[in-house]
Amino acid sequence: MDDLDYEHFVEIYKNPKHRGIIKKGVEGSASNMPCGDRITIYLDIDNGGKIRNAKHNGYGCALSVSSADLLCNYIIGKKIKVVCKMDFEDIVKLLKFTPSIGRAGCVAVSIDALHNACKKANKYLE
Amino acid sequence: MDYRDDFPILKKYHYLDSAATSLKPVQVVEAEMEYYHEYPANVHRGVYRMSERATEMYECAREKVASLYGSKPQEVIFTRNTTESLNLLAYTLGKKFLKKGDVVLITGMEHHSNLVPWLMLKEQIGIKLEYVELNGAELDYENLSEKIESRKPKVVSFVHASNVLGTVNDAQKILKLAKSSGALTIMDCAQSAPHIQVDFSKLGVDYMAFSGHKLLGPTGIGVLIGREDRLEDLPPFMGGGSMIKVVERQSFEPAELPQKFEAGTPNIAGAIGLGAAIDYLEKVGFVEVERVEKELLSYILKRASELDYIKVYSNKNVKNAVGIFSFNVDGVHPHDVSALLDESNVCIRAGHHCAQPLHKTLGVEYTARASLYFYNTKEDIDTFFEGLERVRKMFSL
Repeated sequence: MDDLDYEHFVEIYKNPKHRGIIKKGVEGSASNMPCGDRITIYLDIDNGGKIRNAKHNGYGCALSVSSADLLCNYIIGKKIKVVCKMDFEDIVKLLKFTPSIGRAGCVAVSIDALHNACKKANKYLE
Repeated sequence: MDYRDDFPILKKYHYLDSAATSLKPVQVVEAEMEYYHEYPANVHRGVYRMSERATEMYECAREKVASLYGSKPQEVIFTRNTTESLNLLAYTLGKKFLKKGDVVLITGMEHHSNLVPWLMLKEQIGIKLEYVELNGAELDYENLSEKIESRKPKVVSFVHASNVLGTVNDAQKILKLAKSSGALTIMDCAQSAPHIQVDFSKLGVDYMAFSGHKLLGPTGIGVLIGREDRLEDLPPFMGGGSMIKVVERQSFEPAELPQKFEAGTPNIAGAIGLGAAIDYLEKVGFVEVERVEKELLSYILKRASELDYIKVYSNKNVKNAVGIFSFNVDGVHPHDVSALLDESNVCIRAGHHCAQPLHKTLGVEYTARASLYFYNTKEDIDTFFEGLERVRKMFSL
């Protein structure tokens, strides 16, 4: 990863727009143990299945926190049914950066956390 | 001394991850290549000259290990690595000597390879796993005494030098206490055998394990040294070719030591490479290895003490440590530290270093770790700190 990419992710890491928790939201966590990233994604979903708000919390490197923040930013306002079909490649598009094999786990942890949140959002997926 | 001709990779990288695996000098690589090019036969099988040469070189490597570490050749078992050596012990001791409720005592600074096999045994047969607690970066020796006296362990298995703290534990003190209570003793020497003189017979430990790839040797070759009588007491670990004397349809007789524990075709090239590694290490000498490491460790600690954004977890008592510097940069994930240092070709490790319980004791999720060997220089350290300065600027610390 070159300096330009890293600076961009560090800026998001230092000032994430969507860091926090949603107390009555649907949440899902994932971790990337070899790297030491633990991300929880919180979703506030309205009765129509639209994501009103999304936040992330946890401990992670600049890349994992950036991935989570960009993911939350993207999914706000979208339908949970659509969002739950997102995969690793979708996050890569959001990042505009393809991680190396050693950093793929840092990116994947957010999408894994989202999928775990989706498992608890069954009523919105029917 | 400039080792770059023997370790060409040093011309490009500032390699500070020797605790994960050491660099290999060209002499080791050439020894392995020579085996594959000149005499690539299997060992202990053929009677043609090429096979006999392979056997001779393989056994010569065993003798070199025995000589450097104070044991007899038949006490030296080649395995894949420290982890396999320790698993062999846990498995075979579990099969023959340990039963439900027996206590195995380890320390709070163990690598997973001297922890997980005992946890597996706990699940399989119900042994109790107990810990000697820490006192800062050192072992709590009062707690050690108390645990041995009150818990009466059947096995005391401890790390000689911690891969996170760098602390070299007082092996003689631990062994004296353990043996006086009748316990079997095991030492994980993965981080000590490459860096300090370890004399198996003088120590009087029952078993010790280490990895070839951490002492300039190839990956895939490790060592278990055990007292001859203690190894003979153990049942075989793996079954198959080489480890047998006689096989009938319904029975078998295991081979003598060391073949008893070397089933199948071994890592022949790896062992020969390890032999070449030991030749190299002996030429450098442990006195020089220790001198360089302690000098550089002192220098790292001095430079780190001048920075207010670094927290150090490893042992600051250089006299009692191998060259390991574990740290965190305040507010920065160790993975980011490592990735940014990589941009200056500085190689360090970030994570839990296969010591999750120790990190929990230290009160931290993960750490970054720079580890030294005799081929490192002051320039490596200076570049390391230049990299940390970049981290500080980028994260606005």
